[in-house]
Amino acid sequence: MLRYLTRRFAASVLILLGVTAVTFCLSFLIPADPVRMIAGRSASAQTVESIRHQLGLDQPLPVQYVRYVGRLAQGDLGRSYVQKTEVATLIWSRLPATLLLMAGAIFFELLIGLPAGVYAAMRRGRTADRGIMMLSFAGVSTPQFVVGLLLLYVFAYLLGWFPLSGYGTVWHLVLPALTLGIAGGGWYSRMMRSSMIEVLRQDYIRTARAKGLSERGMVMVHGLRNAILPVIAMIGLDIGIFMSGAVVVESVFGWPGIGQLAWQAIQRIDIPIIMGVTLVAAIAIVIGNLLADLVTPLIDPRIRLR
Amino acid sequence: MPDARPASLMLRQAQHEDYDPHMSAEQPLLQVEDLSVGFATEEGRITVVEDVSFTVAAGRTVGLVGESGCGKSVTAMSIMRLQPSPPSHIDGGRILFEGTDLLALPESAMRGVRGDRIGMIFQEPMTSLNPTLSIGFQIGEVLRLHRGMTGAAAREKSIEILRLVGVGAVERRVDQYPHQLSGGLRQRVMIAMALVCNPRLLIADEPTTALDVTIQAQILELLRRLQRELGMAILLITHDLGIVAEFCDEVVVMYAGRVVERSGVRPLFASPRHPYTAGLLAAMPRLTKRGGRLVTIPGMVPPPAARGAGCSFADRCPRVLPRCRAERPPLVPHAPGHDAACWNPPP
Ligand SMILES: Nc1ncnc2c1ncn2[C@@H]1O[C@H](COP(=O)(O)OP(=O)(O)O)[C@@H](O)[C@H]1O
Ligand code: SF4
Ligand SMILES: [Mg+2]
Repeated sequence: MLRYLTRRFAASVLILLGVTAVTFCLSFLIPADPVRMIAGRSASAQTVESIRHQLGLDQPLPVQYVRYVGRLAQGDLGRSYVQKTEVATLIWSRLPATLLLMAGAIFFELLIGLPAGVYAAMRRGRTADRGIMMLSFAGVSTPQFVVGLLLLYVFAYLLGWFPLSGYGTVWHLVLPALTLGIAGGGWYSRMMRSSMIEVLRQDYIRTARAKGLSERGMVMVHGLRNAILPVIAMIGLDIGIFMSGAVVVESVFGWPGIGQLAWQAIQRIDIPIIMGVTLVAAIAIVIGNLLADLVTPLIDPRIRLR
Repeated sequence: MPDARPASLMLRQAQHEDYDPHMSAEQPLLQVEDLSVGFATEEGRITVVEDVSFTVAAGRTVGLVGESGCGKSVTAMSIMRLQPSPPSHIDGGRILFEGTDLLALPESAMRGVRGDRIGMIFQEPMTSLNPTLSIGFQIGEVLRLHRGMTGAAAREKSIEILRLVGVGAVERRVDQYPHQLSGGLRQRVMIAMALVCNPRLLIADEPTTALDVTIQAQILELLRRLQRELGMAILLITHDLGIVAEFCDEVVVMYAGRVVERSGVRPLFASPRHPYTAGLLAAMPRLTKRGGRLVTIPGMVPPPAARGAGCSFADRCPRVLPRCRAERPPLVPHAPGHDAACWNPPP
């Protein structure tokens, strides 16, 4: 186990190094000069050059990269060009809101997607299955701002059950998380359905029936255990995806997450923030993946950690 | 016949109002009558099992033989009502088990029969156990379901039945998972699971086909011993007449979805009354040596959709008469207890 974790850790570091190389290069492909943006239009050529020197942007690229990675290793993600604040501090301040929204979104995704997928698989080809699949398609394909605004209108404005926007209590969390959960639940229900249909074809399901299990008992005990495995991998992925923020939902609901931070940074070409968010998202993907890989063998004993 | 079933079981069954095990002495344990099963396919409805009738007496072993695709598994699965419907549909017949027509039972009562009164094992021991659950759980599940046993009691009984089916190092095995067991051991676990409630009938659908020859012999020997000790009847599905000769009391030969011959083992082997059976027997010696499949009769089984009015075996039959293609031969007695469906039986 320890050996496994050590190896996974080493592999993760390599992956993340790769990510830093990519973000680093990307930042130079952007056709805008960050120094000009900091200095402003009216700055003299001399000022521009001195800022460039100050930021180390006049050094050869490999040198810049090594310095960049060296700073990362110390937890220094650089300073925002625009906000003149440490990127690490900015991301850190957004982290609680992002993690909370992530947890809420995954909760609703599973709450909606798993039962719907299981039920559709059990009623395969019948009306209930078709209905669920149509709903899930609608969930997946409706733009999030439409779903979000609709939920806001009905449950916050008309009914007044939830606050209109902001962040702070559990009530603030429900609607944004539900908005994400509706889209994600559509994906999960499809995945759960096809996974369950595949499992229900297996010989051991026939055995379970031959034992006298009811359809429900069989699906719950023998089906779910096996069918849930691809879903777990998807949850691992979701952790990474939500870490980079849910831009649309955050702006609809005024949710102070990483997504808004990243969006503003992109608009202002605030490269250190973009690089920082990308890196944090990559770390989250690696962690989510690791978590999924650690949970899987608990369910399927054939899979060993090696 | 004194009823040897535990009182708890009889009580449980009394709760099923539709289930009435009023067995009389001369009534067979299982009586399949004119069973017809079809499938709805893209090309339309096909009939794959047609007017199949046979009986299994309590404590006896009946072999159901025939080439692959002739409808053995569909027949077995229909007895258990495990055929998924759709696409399959039972077009007619009755399946009397302990005097009750299983086809008329509500699904809930049928669940009480499966795994309790009738056990079933399958051809594929490698895939028939759930890979994510321990052996002990999977056996205990049957006891929890049909006997209301829990925790320690179910485990105790699971260990006991594993011992009975000859699994060594049981205390360790019971907590293991299927992938840690060989094919032979897995089939023993399947047998344990099927027999843990002491069913009156065991349906074994090609239980040894996927195993290598030495393991085959061990599993068959085990079934024979368990039958002696537990007294259940066995419906043994196989395409290996060598196994039938050694193991069964009676034989039902199927061809293209129909019963073509039915008799005690000895008369069948001594003087087969159907050319198909005769062909199978002629192919036998080579077969047992290689343990291979029944492919030595030239030609192929006609697919369900291509079965005409006459005898389905006509295209492959060395004794075919003009009448055979026009008129289907009925299954009639050729000797006491020896039925065959043929217009021109071998001498
Ligand atoms: N789900 C199905 N749909 C259509 N045809 C089927 C299905 N299952 C079985 N059959 C057909 O039923 C016939 C009998 O199959 P089966 O009982 O499995 O044969 P076997 O004697 O080898 O056990 C075969 O012709 C097969 O093609
Ligand atoms: S009925 Fe005719 S074709 Fe069919 S088995 Fe008998 S002799 Fe052969
Ligand atoms: Mg078969």
